[in-house]
Amino acid sequence: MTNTAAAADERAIVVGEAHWLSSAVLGALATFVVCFPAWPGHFGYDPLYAYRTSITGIENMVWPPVHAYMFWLSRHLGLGAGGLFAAQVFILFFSAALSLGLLLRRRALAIGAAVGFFGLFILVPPLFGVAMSQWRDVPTGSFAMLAVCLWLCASAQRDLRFVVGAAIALGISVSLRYNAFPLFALIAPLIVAQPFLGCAVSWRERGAAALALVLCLGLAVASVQWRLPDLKRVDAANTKFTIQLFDLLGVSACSNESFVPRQLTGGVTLSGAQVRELYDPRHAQLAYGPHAGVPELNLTVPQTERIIDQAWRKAIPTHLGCYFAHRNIVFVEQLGMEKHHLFYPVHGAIDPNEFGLKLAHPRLSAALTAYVVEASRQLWRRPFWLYAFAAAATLTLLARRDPRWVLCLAVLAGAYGNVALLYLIGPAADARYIFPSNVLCAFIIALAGGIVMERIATPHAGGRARSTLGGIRQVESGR
Amino acid sequence: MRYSRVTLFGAVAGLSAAIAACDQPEWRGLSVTEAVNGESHPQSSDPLPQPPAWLQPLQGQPLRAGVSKEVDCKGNAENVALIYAGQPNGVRIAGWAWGSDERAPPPRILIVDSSARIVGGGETGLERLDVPTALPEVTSNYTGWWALTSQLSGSVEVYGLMADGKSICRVGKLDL
Repeated sequence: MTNTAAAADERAIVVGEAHWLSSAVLGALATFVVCFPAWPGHFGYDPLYAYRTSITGIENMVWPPVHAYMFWLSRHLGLGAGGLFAAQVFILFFSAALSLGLLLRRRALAIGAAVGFFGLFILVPPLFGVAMSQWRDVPTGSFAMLAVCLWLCASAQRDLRFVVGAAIALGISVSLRYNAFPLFALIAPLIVAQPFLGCAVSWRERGAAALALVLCLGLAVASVQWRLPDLKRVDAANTKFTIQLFDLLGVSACSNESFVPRQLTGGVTLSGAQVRELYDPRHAQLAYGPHAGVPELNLTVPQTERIIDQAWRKAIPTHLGCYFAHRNIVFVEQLGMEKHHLFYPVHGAIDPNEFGLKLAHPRLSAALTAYVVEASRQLWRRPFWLYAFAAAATLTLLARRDPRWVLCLAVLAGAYGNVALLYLIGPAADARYIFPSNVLCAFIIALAGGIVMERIATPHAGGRARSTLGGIRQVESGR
Repeated sequence: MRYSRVTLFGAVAGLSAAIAACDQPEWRGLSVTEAVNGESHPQSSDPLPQPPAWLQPLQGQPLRAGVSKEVDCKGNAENVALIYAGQPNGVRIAGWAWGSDERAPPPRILIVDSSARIVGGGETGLERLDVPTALPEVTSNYTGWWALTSQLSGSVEVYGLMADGKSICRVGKLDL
């Protein structure tokens, strides 16, 4: 290798060999630590509903049905509910470990970074708490991580089949949640622009990547239109009114003037104090059910959705200040910036069910649940730090002209895109909703930590390259 | 390397300052108080809400006045869920209750002071999935209750008022 070539190598992302075995071992160890205490996974209402419809069939599209298909597959493979639980956790940690191995020059550093990635789940307890559950947010995050991993594998092997795999993983992730696409807002275009990171790519290869992505995203969209196995079209569920009612309650509480339609309160106009009694920025549904001194909201009156929609259209444009004040406080709760608590960092149990699903190790599960709840009270262990440090890490890589900043920026944009959309449409501040973006931020932080260690170990490695998209390229040597 | 560290810590410090720990906004009228016993409770600047209509004729009456029998309950008076600092002031307390004989939650809740007079009340119907998970004999997910009282200190006892309106069961005791 000439000096010039060596210098060029220093400026490139090292997308090297995949450490399949060590990544699999790390993934399996992390899976054991997460899954054993919570086996076969914590089940709340949503996952139990998905599990039920995996048996009875898809009835509506309130939740995307792919999660139910996953349960169906797990059961038909003889693995029960736990099979999906273990698989989603393994995919998460295996993909992260493999990706870190592909991006860092030394195996030991890659292993250290993968351990660091898992360490962030302990350090930021809502990550661990949510991973112990069967919430669909976990496979959404797992398949997002797998998509990044397969894209890096494609770059390492220069093999379009991995790009197709990345597109499939991306499609599965998007199909699991209605709001998941922003996770890939920059990753997807970058996969099309650079299906093999850093290598010269033909238009034909770009076209193939684009086609794979369009097909997989198209299938993701189709999955919430037509159900399996009969391919019958199921009407889209209208859940918009829940968000609109949440906004109306927030704006009313803020402005001390009720905009909640009287049809929903038995003809009573609520006072400001009554609305504040109902309103809870942690979850729209906390307004439902009995409340002290407030008529119960009746959401079964004819044309509830139209009534709420009309009230929303009337109130929000004239009270934008209060709308954003309400949205801000939901966001504050969601990211764990509220001083005194973090909402719903762990489910901690399997709800009563007709399937005989029970925790295998209830005491261990309870102990870990208590740990997650208690540790989540500490402000320095809240999810918002992940976003701060991931942004700082990406900025630092950019300032250092480390070519890996492009990948980090794409992943970071996905994480921020996810929470940005939730800011506008989130019906609740459950910690789980941001699990996929938390995972992406944790990945960036682990990678940045590995890069720092790489620089300490080999001070001239990695280079202060002037990177562009074209400057990111694969090298075969230098590991 | 120095540049890298400065950038990293500068960015983190800047972001941290921008997203410092947040209190509830003023318009929510909520704050967190430090109670005498060291437990913190959320506090609202709003007044104590109106009690349910069925409770109003019972306020101040002796608990045993219209009671025909006492039955068995499982349950607990767990905490002060909210302090109302407006006028009139008071507290909302919360817990769960399950009628062992009726195999249903008592629909109504009575709060009784140390002289066995009714000083508040509320209703069940709040979702409590943890209760049937921990106690399989409880078959309802809606054993949670709320109750309002203007009593701000001392001990109160909580009773469930069963569906017949004449039977009561003791749910628990709470130090305010």
